[in-house]
Amino acid sequence: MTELLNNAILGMNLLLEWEILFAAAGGVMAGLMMGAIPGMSDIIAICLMVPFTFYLNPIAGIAMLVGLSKGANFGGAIPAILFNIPGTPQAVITAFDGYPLSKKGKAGKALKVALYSSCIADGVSDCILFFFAAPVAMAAIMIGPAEHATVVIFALTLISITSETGPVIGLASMLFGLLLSCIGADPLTGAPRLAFGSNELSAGMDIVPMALGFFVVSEIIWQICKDRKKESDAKISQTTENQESLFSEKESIENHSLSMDEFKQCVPAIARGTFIGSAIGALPGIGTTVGSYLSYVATKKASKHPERFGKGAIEGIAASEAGNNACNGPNLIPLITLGIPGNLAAALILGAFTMQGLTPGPMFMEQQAPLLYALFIVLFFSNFFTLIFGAIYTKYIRKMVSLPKNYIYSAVLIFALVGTYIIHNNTFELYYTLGFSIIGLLCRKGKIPMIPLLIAYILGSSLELKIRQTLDLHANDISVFLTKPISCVFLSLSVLVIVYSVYKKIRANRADTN
Amino acid sequence: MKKLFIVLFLVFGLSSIGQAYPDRPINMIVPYNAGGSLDSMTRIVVEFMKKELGKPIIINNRPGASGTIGADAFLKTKADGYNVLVFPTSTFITPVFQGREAIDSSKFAPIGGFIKSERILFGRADAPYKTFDELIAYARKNPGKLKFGSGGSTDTAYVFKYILQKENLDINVTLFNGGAPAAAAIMGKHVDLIEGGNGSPGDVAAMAGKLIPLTILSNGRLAKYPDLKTPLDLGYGYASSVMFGFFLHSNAPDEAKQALSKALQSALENKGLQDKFASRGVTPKFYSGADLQDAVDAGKKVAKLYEIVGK
Repeated sequence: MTELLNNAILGMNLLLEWEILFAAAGGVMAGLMMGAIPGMSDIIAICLMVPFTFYLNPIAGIAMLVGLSKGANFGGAIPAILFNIPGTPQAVITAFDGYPLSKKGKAGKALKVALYSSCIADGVSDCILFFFAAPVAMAAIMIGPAEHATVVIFALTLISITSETGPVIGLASMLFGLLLSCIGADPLTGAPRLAFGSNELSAGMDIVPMALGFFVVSEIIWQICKDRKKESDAKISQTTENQESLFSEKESIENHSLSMDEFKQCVPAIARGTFIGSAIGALPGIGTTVGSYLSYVATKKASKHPERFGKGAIEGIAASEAGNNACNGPNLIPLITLGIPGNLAAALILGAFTMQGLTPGPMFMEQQAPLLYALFIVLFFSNFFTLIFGAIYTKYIRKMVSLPKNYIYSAVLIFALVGTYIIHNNTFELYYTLGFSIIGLLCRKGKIPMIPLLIAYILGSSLELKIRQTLDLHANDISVFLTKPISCVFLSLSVLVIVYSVYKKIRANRADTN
Repeated sequence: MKKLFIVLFLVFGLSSIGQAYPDRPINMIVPYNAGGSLDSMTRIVVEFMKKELGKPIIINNRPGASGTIGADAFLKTKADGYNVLVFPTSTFITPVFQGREAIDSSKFAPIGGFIKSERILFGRADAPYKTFDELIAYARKNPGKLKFGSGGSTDTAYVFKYILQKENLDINVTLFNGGAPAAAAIMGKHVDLIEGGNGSPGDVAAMAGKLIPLTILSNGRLAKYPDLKTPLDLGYGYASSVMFGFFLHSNAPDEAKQALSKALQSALENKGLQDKFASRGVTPKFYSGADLQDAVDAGKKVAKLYEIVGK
């Protein structure tokens, strides 16, 4: 404890520069705005800003990037709630309840819930980071290739089994995502696979074109088709609805503010989300989308009225936003100690560390403790920036729903395509966005769950890498996954999850027949 | 009016003839992600080279496929001396280890190198072997027990596998894709041996006493570990060779090649640059175009290991 305080005090000395606070505030504001534009996700914002951190003081540079990530984690919820088009992949789950609530004219309420949940969860998880970083870092070393592989297997199993449309379809969707993740470079040797001779494909498809095509472009096309159908139905029934704006904006105070009672209703969901998000964030290589989804599922299962979820339950929004924002802080731990980023944003932040001549690795926490604790303190205060900027921004941005849809869709499509290009300056990647938008449309039409596909796609290559490394190191003896204690625990948990869901189904079937 | 435009056009258009190189910004392709170790070191060098050349140098990251996408993108640009590639010499043969053809180095003109990365074999400080010979003896007595992971250099992993083949040892080998995962794996006791570059997280741990450097696996020696020998010294015919340097097209104008080489040399002599690198634990030095070509050729030898050692 005294060492912690020592490092914290040393760290605070480093903070006596305005540059750092400006960088953090600027990062949050930029992240908020970019996250709120579907097509300009946090990845792109961070990609663009990483070279600039070279010229800044190390804490300022990294605080800016983490601020970007924080701002965007909330920012992505804004279009998800208003238009069902997530600004970032992790906001997909917020749309489940956010969009229905918004359609009822309560966009302001939904946005407020999202904002408060995000900030509270982020703040608490930053405190967790501050107090537990050192012991968790020591534990993080115990996670080797075998353990990491089984953690991912557990996460994938959990996500597939708890999927809305049932475990079997969830598993199928997850496996298809794994198959898609095989396209590109072999994660161990870099050899091209399923590349059909194309040099571009041999590099693999990045998450951003995939997410943009899957959630943004396909959603826009889907909405246009639905509107066409509504229009033609309306023509048939001869009604004269005003098709200009998305839905009528009921300007009543009650619809756009959050009462104390409603907030109290959300507190358990926020707590659950914070805990789950922090745990997922501290595990290497799992990611914010998983945190957000598991938090949502846990809250739904714990709720007395699960049927309200998916129709505008505020606890759903709170759970998902708390889940994804709570990952931010703890994500730094495996990043700093193992050099393994939890998601693409963290991978870019890793780059910013290297750019400053700081080498993440097992010695990093020991040797750079004051700098890291200074960073953790800045992160905690950045949440106040998110709260302030977020409150101002959402107050005005929700008026956007009264804009004509055509403009919104066109603008978003342009941003999505430009965003795809910006990451690697490669026009070939636009084909990926196109391809994934077609897959997205097929999923929507066939009611196939998209989350297991997305998460399996993100985690596929790292899962394969870890399994093969484990087998290489143990002369292809597959029983090593059972003999190593931590890995055995996670494998057993995965099996338990499957067994439990089968058991529940059998009981439900028996109850039906009785 | 039209005549005025024609005259202006001719004046400005023809004025670039006879102007010294460079008369406009230079485009530098970095075939790795922004923030990676090569990218960050390049940015430092470029910052000082800009002052020597008097024109901006714009960095263009084109990551992917272990550097081959960036190399391909470079070859597609014009050979006018305004497009430069920064590349590690070992990457010319990386496709060989993926089952493909090596990149044809005759299309590239080496301008100069700035870092020679030596790859070191590390073991844990609490292991029963403290030197390379002790390691070999231990491995002979305990076949199949030890585990090795590379720290991002595939050709170094193959050099190690060749040594194992020559000494008839049974050690399990895998590849990690960077210095940080490798260092974390050895500290967490998931592997017993790693290879890492000079200045990598493994080296940082060694300098803190947690790891012991056992031998060098590349073809240069290090002042800070004077007792360590290279595989060539020890009698194994192969050693990896990794030098980071700048390349132009082989048919780029000579004026550009000379100007860039001079600018690189002056930049590397600058104390400010040396200080920036010192904090990373690496010492940049100027290597001439000829040195860089030697490094490329030395690296090519290692490509044969793919057939000798197998996958």
